[in-house]
Amino acid sequence: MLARLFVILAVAVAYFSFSVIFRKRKLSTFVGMEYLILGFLLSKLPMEQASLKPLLFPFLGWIGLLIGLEVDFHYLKELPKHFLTKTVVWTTGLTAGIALGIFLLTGKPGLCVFALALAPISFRTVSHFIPDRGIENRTALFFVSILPFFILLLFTGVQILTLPLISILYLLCFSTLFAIFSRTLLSLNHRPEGLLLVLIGVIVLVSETCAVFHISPLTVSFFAGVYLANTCKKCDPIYRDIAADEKPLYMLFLLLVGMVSGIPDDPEFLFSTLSIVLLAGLLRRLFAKAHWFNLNRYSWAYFMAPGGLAIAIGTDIWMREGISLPGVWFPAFLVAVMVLQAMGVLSGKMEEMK
Amino acid sequence: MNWKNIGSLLVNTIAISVLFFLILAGSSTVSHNSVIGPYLALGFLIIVAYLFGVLARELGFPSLTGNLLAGILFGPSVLGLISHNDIRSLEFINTIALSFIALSAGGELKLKNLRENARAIAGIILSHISLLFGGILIVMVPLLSFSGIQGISGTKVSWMAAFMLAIVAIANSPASTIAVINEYKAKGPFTDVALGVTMVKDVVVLLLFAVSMGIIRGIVGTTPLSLSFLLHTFGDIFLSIGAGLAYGGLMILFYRFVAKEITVFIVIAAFLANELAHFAGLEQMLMCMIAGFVVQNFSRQGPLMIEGIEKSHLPIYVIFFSIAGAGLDFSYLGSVYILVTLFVILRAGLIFGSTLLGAKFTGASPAIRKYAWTGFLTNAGLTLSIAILVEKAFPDWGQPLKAIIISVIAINQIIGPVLFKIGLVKSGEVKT
Repeated sequence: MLARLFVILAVAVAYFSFSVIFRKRKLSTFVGMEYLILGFLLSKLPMEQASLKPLLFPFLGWIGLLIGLEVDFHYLKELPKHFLTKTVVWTTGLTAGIALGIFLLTGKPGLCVFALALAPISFRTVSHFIPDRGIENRTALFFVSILPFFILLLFTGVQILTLPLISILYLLCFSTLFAIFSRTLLSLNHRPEGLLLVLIGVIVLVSETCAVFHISPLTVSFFAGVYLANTCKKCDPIYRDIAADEKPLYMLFLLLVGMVSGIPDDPEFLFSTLSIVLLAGLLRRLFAKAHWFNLNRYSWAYFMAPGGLAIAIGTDIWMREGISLPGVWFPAFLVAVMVLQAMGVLSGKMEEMK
Repeated sequence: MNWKNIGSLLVNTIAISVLFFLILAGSSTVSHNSVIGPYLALGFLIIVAYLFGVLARELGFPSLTGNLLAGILFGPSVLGLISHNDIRSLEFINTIALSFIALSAGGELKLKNLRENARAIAGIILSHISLLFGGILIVMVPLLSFSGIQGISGTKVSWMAAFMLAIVAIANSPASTIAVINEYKAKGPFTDVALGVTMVKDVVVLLLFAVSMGIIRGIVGTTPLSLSFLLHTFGDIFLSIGAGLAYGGLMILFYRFVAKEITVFIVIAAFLANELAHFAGLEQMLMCMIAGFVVQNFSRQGPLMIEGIEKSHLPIYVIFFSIAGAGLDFSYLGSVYILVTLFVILRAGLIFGSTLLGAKFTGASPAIRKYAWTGFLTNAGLTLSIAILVEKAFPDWGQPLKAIIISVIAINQIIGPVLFKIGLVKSGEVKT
């Protein structure tokens, strides 16, 4: 009971003080990862971590829905082909490169799927360093903002190729069912607070159903979001409601992930972390510097931070395949993402100072 | 009444219920972590309870009646889509929600309004303690003696059981009262009196129960009634009041110096208060009520707290009342229905009479005289705690008594909010 009391106190203090501290130091783009660190610290308390796991699924569902709701087919259709090609090449190329590296380092093909989690670029970090909204900058920002859509598509593709047939059937069946069901339910005449409540219910139900059937809540709710964004008249208020609570929800998500994962006292953990940082960092730098992507006008450091989606994808994989993965892998992945995020923010700051 | 809306709400409720049934059926074929089950049920319950709430409003009832009915219908008593295990696992949410509701209730009590209605509040409370308590005791002793209920036999046991039922009769549900007031945004003397009486009676019931338990223990011979026991009981209550004052002070500091993310803050504050109360063995409801009262009346930050509460109360009420509804057990009703029906009717009659008398003697307004009784029919959390504690202390007659009390709660929780809503509307304190 004392541990639980301590956790709530720590969360309350952190929630209301971290943003002030980091904003004062002009490090707002780092905000988020500090909750992960707090989660790691709290994991040392004597608490039953297993009981916290089911709480993570709704957060994955929420992130999936949030990204899905941003996908508008009208805009996608109007995108120039070369732009689409660049995003597809970044997504597949970087993922394939990191996956190959992971396979060569560990010899375990099951871990290669984590490469997908190391491909996104944090929009918040990039938009912090490229605040100017000129046409060139807008293109770069748009490139970063559209990446999650392609990464989640690839994530779905990988699942279809690797999952057992029954799981694929569940995935397709629930994606369709929940998309239609969410639209019908959310299209009713709700008061504003009612709409939010129905959304909470839908997200919890969808995510926990996915947890029961061992399928990805991120993917299923992503498709529900895409369907809503393109067919539901109320998609704007839905998006507004779901995005309004982004900060507390991300905080809780990162905190829980840190608490559930913990940090092992194992030299292999350090080795794995270092390997992921080096591998992902080098390849991301290589891609960011490549002339073809037209991102080399900016510092490569801006594109180092993988952001919250990376942790969401990693968590989604870990929640479904946790038992078959080496114990140190997920914490190592989380710390690697944190290091990349810190590298991105700090190098960006240094570039700015120059 | 919009029949098209009602139709589409019903269709959606049926569709989601069928979908959930299929998910449950499918889930039994795959191996999964059993910890997930309650959260799955929670997602379903939120949706159907909300839909039932809207449906109830469309039909002219308070939303919480709909939330409760959804819980009852899909809970273990009727359709069984939500199991006993799910309810037990989700109960922790309700204890947090209770802190939130108590903070909200305390925040709604304004000292100025209480002062204006102090005479009426005191009159009604005294009238309830004397007439309602006495009336129930006098009628229930012979009724229980001749009821033939197993475990409740003999004059001594009948007296003890009737004593507990008399305490239960006085108790109300602050959660239901505040939920109806919030939903209809009711304001005025009738609302203040209903809320004031409910809150103060909560403390009175706690004290009465503690003293009665001591006396009964003395009679039965398990633990003689002693001064130290009484001091301990009163000490707990004073400590809870002290903790509430301190907690309220801390909340004022937050609202004064931080004052951001007020919705998130009130939820965290409720969560923390719940943990603190459990850790220190304090009366959670009392502590939170006092804290809310302090913020509202001893600082300028009261409106800020109420704003945070209003922004987040719908999800909390829907979850709280639907889980509470699912937890209501009707299986006992069959064996004790005559006694329960008599008790419910007698209690309602005595509440009507004693409230009328109390209000009349203190010169309360006609609206309070006529309709205040509608606010005192609900029964919930505290009543259930009394039943559980009595069962634990005196299993022989506590068990059948618990069955009676649970059935009483189930009926009063359905009738109470509906009548209170009617009372509020008739008194003209509901914004249209």
